[in-house]
This record gives sequence, structure tokens and C-alpha cells, in this order.
Amino acid sequence: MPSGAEPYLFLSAALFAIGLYGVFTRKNAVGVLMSLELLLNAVNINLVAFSRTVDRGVDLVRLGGTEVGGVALGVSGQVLAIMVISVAAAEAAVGLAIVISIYRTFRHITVDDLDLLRW
Amino acid sequence: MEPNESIAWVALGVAGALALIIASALPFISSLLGPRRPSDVKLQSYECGITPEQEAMGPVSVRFGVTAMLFLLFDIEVVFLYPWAAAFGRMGLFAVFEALVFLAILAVGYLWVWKRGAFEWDK
Amino acid sequence: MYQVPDVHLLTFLPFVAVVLTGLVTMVLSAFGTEEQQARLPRIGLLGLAVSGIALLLAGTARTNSSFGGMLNMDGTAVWFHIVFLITTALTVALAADHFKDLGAEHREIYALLLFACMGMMLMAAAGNLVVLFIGLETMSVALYIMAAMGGRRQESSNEAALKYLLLGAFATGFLVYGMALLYGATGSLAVATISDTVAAGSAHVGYLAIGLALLTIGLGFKVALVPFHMWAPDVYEGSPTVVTAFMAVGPKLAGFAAMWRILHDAALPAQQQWMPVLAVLAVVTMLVGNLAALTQTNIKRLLAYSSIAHAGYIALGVMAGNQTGLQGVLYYAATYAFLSLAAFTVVLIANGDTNEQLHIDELRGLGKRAPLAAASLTVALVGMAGIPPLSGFLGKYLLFSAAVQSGHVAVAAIGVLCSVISVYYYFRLIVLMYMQPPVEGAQQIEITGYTKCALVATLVGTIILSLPIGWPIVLMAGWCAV
Repeated sequence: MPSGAEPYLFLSAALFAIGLYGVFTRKNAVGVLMSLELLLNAVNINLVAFSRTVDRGVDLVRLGGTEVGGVALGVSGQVLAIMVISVAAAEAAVGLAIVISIYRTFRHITVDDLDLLRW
Repeated sequence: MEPNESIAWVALGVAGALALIIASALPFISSLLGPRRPSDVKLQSYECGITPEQEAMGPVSVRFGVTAMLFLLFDIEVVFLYPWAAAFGRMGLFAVFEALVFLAILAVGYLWVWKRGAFEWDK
Repeated sequence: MYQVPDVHLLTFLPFVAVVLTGLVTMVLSAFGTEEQQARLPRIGLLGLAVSGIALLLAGTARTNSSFGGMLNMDGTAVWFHIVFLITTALTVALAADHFKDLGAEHREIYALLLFACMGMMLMAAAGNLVVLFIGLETMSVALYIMAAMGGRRQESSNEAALKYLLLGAFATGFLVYGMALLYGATGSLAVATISDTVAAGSAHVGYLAIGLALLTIGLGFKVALVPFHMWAPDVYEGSPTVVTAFMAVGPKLAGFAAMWRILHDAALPAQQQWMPVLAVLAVVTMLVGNLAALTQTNIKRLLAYSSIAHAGYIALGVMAGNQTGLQGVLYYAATYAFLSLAAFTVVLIANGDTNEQLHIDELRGLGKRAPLAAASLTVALVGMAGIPPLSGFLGKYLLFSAAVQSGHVAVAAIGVLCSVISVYYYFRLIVLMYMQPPVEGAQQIEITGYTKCALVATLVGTIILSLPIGWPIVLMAGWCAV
């Protein structure tokens, strides 16, 4: 049973796949970080799309709200999307800080050449 | 689909195709027809004024990165205030209190960053 | 028009205590005088103790849910909270001694530990996937920073931090994707509603299956289940040992708490889908963890692989998804916390302040150089190997019998076999400590201050869990599991 979110799911899956490709092929730590951001933002599209299509607002009803004429009121997907945005920013900030610190110690930020710790 | 509508789509397609063709053809035509008299002055970013001293794409101080990171962090927190503002009218005092707690925690972080000297350019 | 959600102060007082203490230590680490900064560990411990008392009060509250079911302070949550508070307190004590002489930028570790603790508590008490996600990320981001606090070993700790961050953020991507699909399948992010929808059979089958798979992968990274364990040995080796001690216990157990919340609380009706996957993961994890530990010569790497193996045992309990399973997970969580922290405390002691990588040969003659530390490590290793009467045995017994009850006799048998393999590498260390002469020029090691307290506390904890008085604790775990 299609819910109306399918086109967005394909878009999001494609972006997620591009992000995965970037994570695996990028040699530069900043490039990998950017690809990771892409992963999270791809998921955000999913969350927002589902929030518009499948969320029945049950959680809102639990919180004491009411459904208005059977129209979906739920916004929990959008709430999670906002959380993901801010968490992605925090992760990016910490990631860039670590990359700067790595650059100061190693004078490069090529992920493959960081091999002090071996298997 | 209405017949008028389909004609409109065709027109849009033709206009788009023409735009694409003209836009991609013009650079080729100008490089084919135009005269060529290269000189050093023409390669500079600005042909008049002060001569540039270094490359524009050279390395940038890492301090910009720190500032950008801090901006990003505090800027993104506003994302929480927008839904708060939208629901504020219906939630009353409780929402005020919640937002105050959030902003207070954020302020502690701001003070900490300030004290640790992240805003100072020459450290 | 909706009302203000129900807010019961008692249920989230433990969180408030930890967060406020974290903020206070953070402010003091920047603004405080030298004297105040020397008192940071004590402030941290005090806050954790207050949170513990608040937890007891939360037990007396007339409801265990708050914020419209966002927080769910049931027995499982309370049990995990106690384990997390103890883990954090012991790590704060270790940091008090071993981060004391490092630069000012290392003083933030207390604030970070407390924030990470709050994140772990949120994960264990999550009644909504949003809360679970926030808890997980609060914990993870704090840990990424702590992993980079290498002091004099900046290079390897930086590398460890980057690896941890990249792999951790990667795992987060999978986890959130899984949450999104679970949301798409059921139309809700609330654990209770998801459970209702799945039970009613009105969930989208495809989204549900893929979502659960992605969530398992994401959490598998966090708790280091094979094949998502690649980061663990590197990160454990490179991070400062104090942080490794925390990392090997807190986030791993919090990951299992989250796994329980998602797979059991939200998706129990779909157990037939995730049970075989988790069984395979558990078997592979136990085998790879134990076999790889056999060949390790760096003690932090050895303990890393051993912790991977233990993740495999705990995964058995989650897989079973029944009463015994939860009882086993809870009891083993407490047991493993004490045993693992004891082992890492001894590693810190044997390392001295040089903060170098510890080769297992450096444990030679530890029985003479530091009898108390050697005794503690012996208890920890014997406990981890699962030899009766120590607590590890009882924990494994519960976990394996849960697996048998769920119809996985072969899986439980492999678990027992793996425990037997693990005896080899655990006892090799004990032999090194007692049967071999010390390395040339090795000094007597004096254990003082916070480290001694931590060592004694882990020892006492293990003994309490092991003694016959440990049995009421098992019953308590059973009661919490209801």
C-alpha cells in the first residue's frame, strides 16, 4: 500500500548511497566528514516525508491533544529531523576540531595514512 | 490532459532546448570567431589597481575554522527556538520555563567558550 | 489545543542532578581557582551520589513515566542507571589521579564524563526513539572528545578519536535511517505505540524489516558486535586508558540498553525477524572476540577483544528476549562493569604515569610489585573467564540458559566453548603476574588515593555480586526485569 512517501524514499536512499560512496572512497578526513553529513541529511528527508504521510498523530493524542477531522497532526518525525540537524552540527564541530588537532600533530589529514594503531 | 496544456508543455520544452543550445554554443562561437592577443596583464584578477601579492586560493588561517565552528554550533541551536515560538501561544508558562532552561544551558556553554579564549584572534 | 504534558519531577531528578553537576564542573574548569579545580573530582562524585539518591526517590514515585511517555523509568532503567552511575563514579576517581598532572584543557573530562553519563541514562530510560537518539549522541559526542584527550600521547589518541568519530557518525547514520523506517512502518516514534502497531499487524512489513536491520547495524557498531567491531581495538588502544576504561563499559552497556528498548520493548512482536540475525551476530562475536584475544600482546588490545567477546555473551540475553534474558543482561551488566573497570584500573597502575602502551610482559612479577593490584586483576580475570564462584559465572549461566530457553541450544553451546577458550588468555596473564620474575629494574608500585579507592571498590563490588549475598541481587535483577 503506497503511502505517498515513496518518491522521497528513493531520493533519500540515493543520497544515502552517495554518502556511503563518499565515506568509503574519500581519502581526506574533511571529505569523509562531509559524506557523513550527507548520510544524516538523507535520513532527514525520510523523516520529514514520513511525518507528512504516515504519522497519525497518535503520540500527540497521548500527550493530551486531539486529532482534527482525521488529519494527521503528528510531527514527531519533524522533531527528530530537527534533533538530527543539530546533532549533525555538533558532530561536525567536534570532527573538525579533531581534524585540526590531527593536522597539528601529523601535518596531514589523509585518513589512510593514519596507521599508528594497527589491527 | 487538456490540449492547451499539452501545447504549453511543448512550448516550454522548445524554449528550454533553445536556451540550452544557445547557451552552450555561444562560448564556442566566440572562441572560434574572436581575435586572440594574449598578454600578462589580461591574466591578472584586476587589470587596474594594486597588483595582487599572493594567490587567492592559498591556505586560510585555521582560526577562521574555529570561528566558523562556533558560529555553526550557536546558530544551529536556534532551530529549536523556531518550533518553540510556533507552539508558544498554546503552551503558556510551561513553554517559557522550558525555553529558559534551554537558553540557560546554552549561555553556560557560551560563557565557557568565551573564558577559554576561543573568541580571541591573537592567542 | 493540547495540554502541557505530564511532568513528574521525581522521575527525572536523577538526570537533573547529573546535568547540573556537569555544568558546574564545566564552569569551574574554566572560571575556578586552582583550589576549586583540584576539587572537581569530588564535586563530580558528589553529584553522582545525589543522582543515586534521586534514583531511589524515583523508585518511590507513583508513576514511572514522564513527559507523555518520553521517559520510562521502569526497573530496567533504574538498574542500568545504577550501573552507569557507579561506572562514571569509578572513572571520575581514576581521572582524578591520572589526569591531575596534565594540562588545563584536560580538566573538562569531569564535565564530559557527567554529560556522557546523562546520555547513557537517557538511552536506558528512553520511551521514545527521539529521546534514545539524543541520549546516544550526547554520550557519543562527549566520548569523541574524551578519546582525543591523550595528554603526552597526543598522536595515537588523536588518531583513535578520529577513527572513533568517523565510525561512530557512520553508525549514527544507519541508526537514524533505521529509526526513520521504523517510523515509516508504524507512524510513530513512541516505543509503546510502535509496539502496539507491530502487534496489531498494521505495520508496513518491508519498512519494519529493513528498519530493524539498520537499527541492529547501528547499535552493533556502538556495542562492537562482530562484524562491526573493527574500530574497537584501535580506539581502545589509542585512547587514554582512563577513557578506555569508561568506553569499554558505559557506552557498551548503554548500547545494549538501547537495543533492548528497540528490539524488545518496541519490536517484540517481530521477534521472529530479528532473533536469527542477533543469534548469528552473537555467535560470530563470541568466536572472533575470543580467538583474536588469544594472539594479542598489548594488554589494552587484549582487553578490547575480550570486551568484544563479552558483548557477544550479552547479545545472547537480548536475543532471547525473555525474562531470564533480561535478568541475565542486567546482572551481567553490573558484573561486567566491575570486572572490566578493575582490569583497566590495574592496567593504569602497572602503566605508572608514563602512559605508554603496555605490553603484557610488563605484567611479569606484578604479584610481588603490587600485590593488591595483582589480586584485583586476578579476581577480574577469573570473573571474566566465568569460573565459579565468581559473579561472571552466574551471569553467563543466566545468559546461556536464556538462550537455551529461546530454543538456541547450539548457540549456548558455542558460548560455553568460547568461555573455555577465554580461560587460556585470561590465565596466561595470571601466570605472568605470579610465576614470572619482574622485568629488570622494575620498581615496587605504591597505589594511593583515588586509584586505591577505585580498585577496592571494584573488588568489593565483584565480591558482593559473587557471594551468596549476590543471589538476592539476582532476584532483584529479576524484579527489575518485570
